[in-house]
Amino acid sequence: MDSSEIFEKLRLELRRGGLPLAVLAQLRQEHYGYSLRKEIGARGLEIDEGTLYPLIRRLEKQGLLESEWRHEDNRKKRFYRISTLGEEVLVLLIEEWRKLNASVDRILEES
Amino acid sequence: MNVLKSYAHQVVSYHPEKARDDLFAEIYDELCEECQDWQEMNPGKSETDFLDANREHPMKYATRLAAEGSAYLVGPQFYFSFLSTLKIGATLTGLFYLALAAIYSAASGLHLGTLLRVLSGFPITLLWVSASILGVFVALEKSGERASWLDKWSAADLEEIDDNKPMSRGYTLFDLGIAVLALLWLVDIIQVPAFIDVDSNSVSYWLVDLPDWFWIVVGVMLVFDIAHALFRLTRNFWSPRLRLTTIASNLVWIALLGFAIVQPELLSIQGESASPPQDLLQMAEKAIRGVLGFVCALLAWDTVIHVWRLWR
Repeated sequence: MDSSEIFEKLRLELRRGGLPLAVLAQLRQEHYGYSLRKEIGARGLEIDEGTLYPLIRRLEKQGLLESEWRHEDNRKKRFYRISTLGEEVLVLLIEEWRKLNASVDRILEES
Repeated sequence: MNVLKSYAHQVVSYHPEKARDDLFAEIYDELCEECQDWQEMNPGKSETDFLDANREHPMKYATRLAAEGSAYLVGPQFYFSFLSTLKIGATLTGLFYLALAAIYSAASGLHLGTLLRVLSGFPITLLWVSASILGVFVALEKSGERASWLDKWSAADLEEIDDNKPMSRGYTLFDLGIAVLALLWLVDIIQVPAFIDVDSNSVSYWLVDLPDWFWIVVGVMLVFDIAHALFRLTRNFWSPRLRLTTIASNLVWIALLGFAIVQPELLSIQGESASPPQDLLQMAEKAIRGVLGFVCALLAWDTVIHVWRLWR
């Protein structure tokens, strides 16, 4: 395995931890799968559907998201939005994320 | 043909039936929207071109979509419990068949055919045991049950180990091999040459005059040694309990072999020779006593090492 492959794997690992936070935050506004992916991608965080759908299913199962099926353009679309519980958890996660970033930054600066 | 619809159907066909409708709707919608965007950037390209350029094999895609779902027969939270249970099941089944073989041997006078008939049931039974264990774990996985037994854990339950002395797998396999061969010899499945050829006269000899209780104890000890070795294969380090059982087993073996060595006669002639070659017989007896003595010495050395490591 060369360095670019190793880097790619570690990069994905690094991003994976932040994805639930990004998805929950983005779902303060209602989205369906593709629009959510596009919105997050437009902000510089590319996420493939093989990662996004399992993640939003898990978050919904945990009660952090609510969903609703609607018909648009002759197709069924599932719209997601953050739940009350999700909002509470998101506030805690944002705090934790900032602490984590600050800690890692300190370590990187000191090293 | 709507190729996007076909692709989405193919993908969801790998998922559980109850999840397919919702998954299909979501994937199909995603494909349609993404394809539309892609075609705007790539005028003149077809939906097939879009799939070729942007999607992988439906099975690979289905796998990625299931990555965090309950698509496992036995998922990560149960996997090691499942493997441990399989090992225990296989060991117990093996021991059960060894015991059964020993009982049948005792009852039927060590007939090879009977033994083979008994042992031939082992693979099928093992298959059933494994399938039953798999069934239980699949049911647990599908029911969403948590591995709650792993929550009831205390550091005090950890077995003390001698981490300076990892257990040698080769040593254990050697013990296992010797015990299995000896058991097979005891129940007459494998035979050692039992004759001496002198001047073209064949003379058969047999181990003699060792009481029945001796052979029963030998059989029990061999079954114990096999079980002990199988258990040791599941461990990486020696523990005091394992050392104690090894010491106890060695001492019993030393006593048994010592008892055999001090017998006045070990071999008797069974052939038709008018004049048994006494010199040769005595030499063979000496050789057997020598081998038994050497094994006793090895066992004693092994015992001393275990005792030293236990109390040092």
